[in-house]
Amino acid sequence: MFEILRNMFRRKLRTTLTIFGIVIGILALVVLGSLAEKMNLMMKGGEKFLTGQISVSSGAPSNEGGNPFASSGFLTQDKIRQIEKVNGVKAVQAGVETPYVDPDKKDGGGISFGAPPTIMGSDLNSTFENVNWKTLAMKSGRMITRGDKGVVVVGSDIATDKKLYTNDTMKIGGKDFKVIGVLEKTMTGPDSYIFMELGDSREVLITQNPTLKDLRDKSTSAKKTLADPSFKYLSPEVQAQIKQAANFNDEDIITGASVSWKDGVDPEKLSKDIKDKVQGVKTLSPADGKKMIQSISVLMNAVIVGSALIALVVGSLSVINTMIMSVSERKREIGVKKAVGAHDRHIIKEYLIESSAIGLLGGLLGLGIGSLIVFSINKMTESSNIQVFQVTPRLAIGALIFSITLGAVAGLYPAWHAARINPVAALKEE
Amino acid sequence: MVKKKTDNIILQAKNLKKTYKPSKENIVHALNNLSLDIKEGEIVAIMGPSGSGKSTLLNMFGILDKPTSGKVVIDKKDIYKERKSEYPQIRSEMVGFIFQQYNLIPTLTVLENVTLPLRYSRVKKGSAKRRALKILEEVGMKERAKSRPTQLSGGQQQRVAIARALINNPAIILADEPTGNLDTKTGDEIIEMMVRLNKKTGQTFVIVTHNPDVTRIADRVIHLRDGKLEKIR
Repeated sequence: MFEILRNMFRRKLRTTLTIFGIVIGILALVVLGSLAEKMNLMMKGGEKFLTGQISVSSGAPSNEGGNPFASSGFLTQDKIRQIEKVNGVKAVQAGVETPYVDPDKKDGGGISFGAPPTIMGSDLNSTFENVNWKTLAMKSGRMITRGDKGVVVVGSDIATDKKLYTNDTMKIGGKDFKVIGVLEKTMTGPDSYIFMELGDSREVLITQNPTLKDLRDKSTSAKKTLADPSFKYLSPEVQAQIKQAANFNDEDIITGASVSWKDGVDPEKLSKDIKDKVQGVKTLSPADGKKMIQSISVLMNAVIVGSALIALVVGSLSVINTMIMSVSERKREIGVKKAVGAHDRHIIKEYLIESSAIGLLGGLLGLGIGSLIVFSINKMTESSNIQVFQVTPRLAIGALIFSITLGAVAGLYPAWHAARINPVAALKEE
Repeated sequence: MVKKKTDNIILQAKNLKKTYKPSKENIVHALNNLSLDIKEGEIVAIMGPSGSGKSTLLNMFGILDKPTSGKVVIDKKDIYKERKSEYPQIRSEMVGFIFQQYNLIPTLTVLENVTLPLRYSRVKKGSAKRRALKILEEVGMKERAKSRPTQLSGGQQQRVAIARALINNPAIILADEPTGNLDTKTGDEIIEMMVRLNKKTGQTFVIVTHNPDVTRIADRVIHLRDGKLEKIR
C-alpha cells in the first residue's frame, strides 16, 4: 500500500488535482444522494402504508338524493355502508384529513420538506387495521383509542416544533386538545401528523372551512324550519330549497376511507369490486399505491443522482489522463519490471490498483466532506424541524464502492497500454 | 567457497539472425547468422563498435527480443520454442540483468528493489527479505537497505542492481556496460565484485563493455562487427 501511495504522489500536484476531481464528484453524489435517500425513506414509509390497505376517496360526481356531499370531494356515510357490504371487505374506517393551520405561524412561510402538518381523524369504533402498519411506536403516552374525545396524539416533528409533551394542551381550530401521546420518529409521514377522533377532526375541518360552516348553519336553521308547522305554507320551491339545505349532515363529511380485506381475499380484485359496486368512488389498491410511489421515487432519484454521476464521469476522465501520463513517464521502469520477470498481468494489476487507490482516496475525502456538509445543513435546519438530508449506510458504502470502481475502470486503458510496452524499447528510453 | 568452472555449455546462440525494417527500402541486419557457445561459470566480455549487435545479442540472451531466425539455448532449453507467455517466468529464473543506468525503481527502497524479481515469482515476503539482506551483505549494501536510490552514489546503486540480478540465483548474469556511468575507481570495484561473485557462485557473466579493465578479467573476449563474430580472444 505504501508503494502505491509513493507512486501516486510522485507528482504531488497532479495527483492531488486528480483526486480532487473525484472528491467533487463523490461530494455531489453524497449530498444529492442523501437528499434522495431522505425522500426515499419517506416514500418507503408511504409505500408501506399504501400497500397495507385499499384507500378509497370520492370519485366521479353523482347526485344521490339531493345530498350536497355526493357531488363534492367527500364520501358519505351511505357510501361507507355500501363499501362495508362488498364481498371480501373485512373492515372500513372513515377518516377526515385536513391541513393543520398553526395559529403561531400566520404567514405559513418557509420551505417544508416531507409531509405538511396534517390532522388525521379516524373512526375509532372501526376494527380496521393496516396490514403493514398495525401500530406506531410511542415515545411517550399512548395512542388514541375507542372512546377518546378531545385528545390528540402528535408526530415527533410536530412535538419538536411546538415543544409538546404528553399531558400538554394544544390549540387546534380554536379549541384545546389534550396531548395524550407523542410518537417516535418514523422518518416518514406520521412525523407530521396529529391523530384525533373522527368527530373532532370533522369539527376542525368545518371550523377552518367557511363554506362548510355556512352549510351547517343553514342546515340547522333549515331543520328548525322543517319542524315548524308553518313550513307547509311555504311555496313548493322554497320548501325544496329548505329540504335540500336540511340534507346537510356532519357525518357525511368524510375525506377518505381505509379498507382492509378478509383472509384469502385478493386486495386487487376487491379494489376493483368496490369501484364497480359503489358509485362515485375511487380506489387505490396496494399495487396502485406501490406503482405510484415507485414512479415518483424513480424519477426523483434519476434526476438527483444523475446530476451527481455526470460530475463523477468528468472526474474519472482526469484519472484516465493522469494514469496515461504516469505510464508514459514510467516506461523505463515498466521495461525493468518486465526484464526482471513481470508478466503483463502484473503490470496491469499494479496500474489498476493505483487508479483504484486514487478513486478510493477521492471517495473517502468526498464522503467525509459531503457528510460534513449534510450534517451542517441538517444542524442549521434542526430548529425549524426540517431534516432535508439523510446519509444512509447504503449511500456511504455505495459511494465508496462506486469511487473505487470508477478509478479501476478509468485505469483499464492506461494499464493495458502499460502492459503492451516493449521492454527493449522502454529500456532504451532516456 | 569457490565453484569450479565446468565444460557444460550453459548458453548457446545458434545461427542467430535479427533483421529490422525501419522502412521499405532500409533493412538492418542487427545480427547476421551468429553462433556462439558460452560455458557455465565463464566471464565473457562482448565488445564491438556501435551498431555491431552487442545489445541485440544481449537482449536475445535475455529473452527480451525474439530472433528473426536461429536459436537461443539456455541450459539445454530452446528458449524461443517456449510459449510467449512463459518468457517472463523463464527470464526471472534463468537470467539476471545489470544495466548501465542501474535502472533502480526510485520510489522503492534498496531492499524493495532487490526483492522486486521475487514479487513476480510469488516468493513469500519473509523469505524474500531474508534472501535479499543476505545478498545485500555480499555486495556491501546491507546497512543501506532502507535507503532510496536517490540517496546513493552511482557505485552504490550499481551494487544494489547487482544484488537484484542475483536474487533469483539465475544461471546467467547479463550486464550491459555495467561500468559505463561510473568513474574508474568505482568501476574497478564493481568489476572486482563481479569476479568475486563469479568465483563464489559459479554463475556465468556475459558483459557488454567498452572498458578494457573488463576484458582483462574476462575468460574470453568476443568481438562483434556488423552483426557477426569478428574474433574471439
